[in-house]
Amino acid sequence: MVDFDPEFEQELREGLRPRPAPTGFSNRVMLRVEKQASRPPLGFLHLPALRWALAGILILAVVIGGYRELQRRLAGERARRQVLLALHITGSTLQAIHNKIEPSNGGD
Amino acid sequence: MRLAPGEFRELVEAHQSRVFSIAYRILGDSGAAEEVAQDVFLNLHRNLDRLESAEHVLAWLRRVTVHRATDAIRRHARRPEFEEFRDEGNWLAAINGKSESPLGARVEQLVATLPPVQRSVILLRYQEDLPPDEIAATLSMPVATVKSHLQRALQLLRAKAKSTLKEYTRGRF
Repeated sequence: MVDFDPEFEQELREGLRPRPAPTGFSNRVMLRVEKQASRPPLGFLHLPALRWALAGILILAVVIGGYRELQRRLAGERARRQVLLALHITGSTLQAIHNKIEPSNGGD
Repeated sequence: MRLAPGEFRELVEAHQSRVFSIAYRILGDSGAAEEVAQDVFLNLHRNLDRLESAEHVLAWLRRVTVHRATDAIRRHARRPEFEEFRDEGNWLAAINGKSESPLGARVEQLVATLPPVQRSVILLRYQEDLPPDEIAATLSMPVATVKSHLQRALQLLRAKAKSTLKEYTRGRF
């Protein structure tokens, strides 16, 4: 814990009195203020809220696009599995019929 | 806050010295400090509608000036053409002899040796005469952190001042 030294603190206060601003400072500020006031309004993309909204829409579009692509792939995969299952059932049925036919052919 | 035409100039003239001093004592460069101070007032002009009273304006000016000056140090430190901002020796050379009084020059030299956060805390405490809770609100940090920065900064300053400031106040310079 540092004990505060009133004499030293007073020296700091005296040494850190505000300095005067450079000559003509307020005139230069007022010139910039007038220039800023006479400037035409900024384009709509300069509004921060609008930029955030556009960024949000873009992100949403990417997310929705990605979700739809995923759904399309899943549907394709489901259809492929159904075709394979149908082919498998057809194959099994044909094989069963073939097995039934084969023994009678062999007996002749 | 609504101002009549011409009142903004009065506002600038009333606060230009404190805003410039904070920026200068954080940056150590007159040109960079003026740039920061001008930007602060331009920003104030844009945000006047949001400020409710003269006290609010003053608190806003302190907060924005400290933050902009500290940002300028960081920005300049990343750019090789502003190498001088990193060099404490150049900082000291820049302020040496430019102060209003010899005591002021010595105190500014001492404060310049502190890290930027401690420098800001010391300026708000002794230039602006703010109590720790208001410094905490200005710098958006806990009061305990402000007190700790203040103690550490004073410890450093007193150690460095032993050989210079005390001799000066005893009239040896």
